[in-house]
Amino acid sequence: MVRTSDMHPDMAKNLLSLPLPEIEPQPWIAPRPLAETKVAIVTTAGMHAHDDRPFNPGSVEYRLIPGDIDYADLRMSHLSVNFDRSGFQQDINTVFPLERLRELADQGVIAGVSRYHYSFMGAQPEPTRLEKTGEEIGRLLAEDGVTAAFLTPV
Amino acid sequence: MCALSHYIERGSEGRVATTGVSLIREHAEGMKPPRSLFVPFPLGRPMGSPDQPDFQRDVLLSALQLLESATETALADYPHDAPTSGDDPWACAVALAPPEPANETEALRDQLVGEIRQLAPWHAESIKRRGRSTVGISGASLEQVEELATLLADFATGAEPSDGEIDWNHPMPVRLKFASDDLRAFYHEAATAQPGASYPTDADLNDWLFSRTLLGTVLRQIVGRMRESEDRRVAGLVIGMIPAGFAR
Repeated sequence: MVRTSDMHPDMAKNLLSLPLPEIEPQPWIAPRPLAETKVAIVTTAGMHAHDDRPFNPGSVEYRLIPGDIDYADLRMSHLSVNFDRSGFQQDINTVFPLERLRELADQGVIAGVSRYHYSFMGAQPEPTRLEKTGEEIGRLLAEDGVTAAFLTPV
Repeated sequence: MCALSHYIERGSEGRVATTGVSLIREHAEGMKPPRSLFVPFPLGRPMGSPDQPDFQRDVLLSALQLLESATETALADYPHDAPTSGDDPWACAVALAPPEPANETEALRDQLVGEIRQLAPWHAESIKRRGRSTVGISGASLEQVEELATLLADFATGAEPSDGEIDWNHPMPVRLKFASDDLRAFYHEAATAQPGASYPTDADLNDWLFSRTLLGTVLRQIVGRMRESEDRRVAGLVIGMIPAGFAR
């Protein structure tokens, strides 16, 4: 069991001091059967293709991760050192479960997997700075026929 | 993460529903993403543990199922802890016996390269087993890992950092952070390729790297210099160099 109460006090203090802005909720999106749902992954792990631009401190940009990317081409340039990277180093699915998502699609549990996935750098001191790029991702996913996004932090 | 959920749904104009996992329950409680599954796993492991496909799939499915069950803002709790490989403490099988760090730049560089070469066979095993390496965010190729030692030795001893042959992704001082991350990744990948009954956690690896390797000692030296720097960009990067609790 890992909760903030189990963390190093400096890290817990830092995490719990981050601003949590109130964002007006959107109209509720009605439930849809998973078997009719096409899913993309949006991660804040600071991942990107090896030949794409690494993230810079404070970056609110995103990186495109093609659905057919070879796991050997994935890198992580997140600024923070206060999270486990060994899981990612041993098995990318620990952070970015694309292979698990493909398995669910193969089994018919979900309708399909998006052609494109997206990555941001998390640990943002001002989460509202992600508004513009977050909305952009929403438009891109919708235009590509994706009906759900699975978000993973680190 | 929580903010992105709101922004993605807004940008899609209701066409894309979001769900996901949360590693900090307090953040999900405060920012109220539409659907979220709190998982009691270490930061950095949102799907639980490496090489546990059944468990990872169950976490994923549990979060996805909120898409068809939730009729209002939902924060669910995943009921299981991440699998571990047992209670046996992990220890690095290769005893590095780090020397006292040299004061001279060239000598310190040679000491670091010596340590890297001790781990290189295990890093080669890591690549053989996993088919990949996560080293490379600094711009250095795997063949240039020893050159990263030059940058660290330069900075640790107060020498002017030389450019060398690496096509760096970042200017100084950010370069120093990603060079450090690449070397730590190299050490971690080598250490986790060694035979052993138990898989190390990130805490195990940090304990080892910062108490039993020369690299850990040198990184502490570097952080000490960074803290004293009058350049605010350098001092501001300290937080990105060494995990909380290991800087001393």
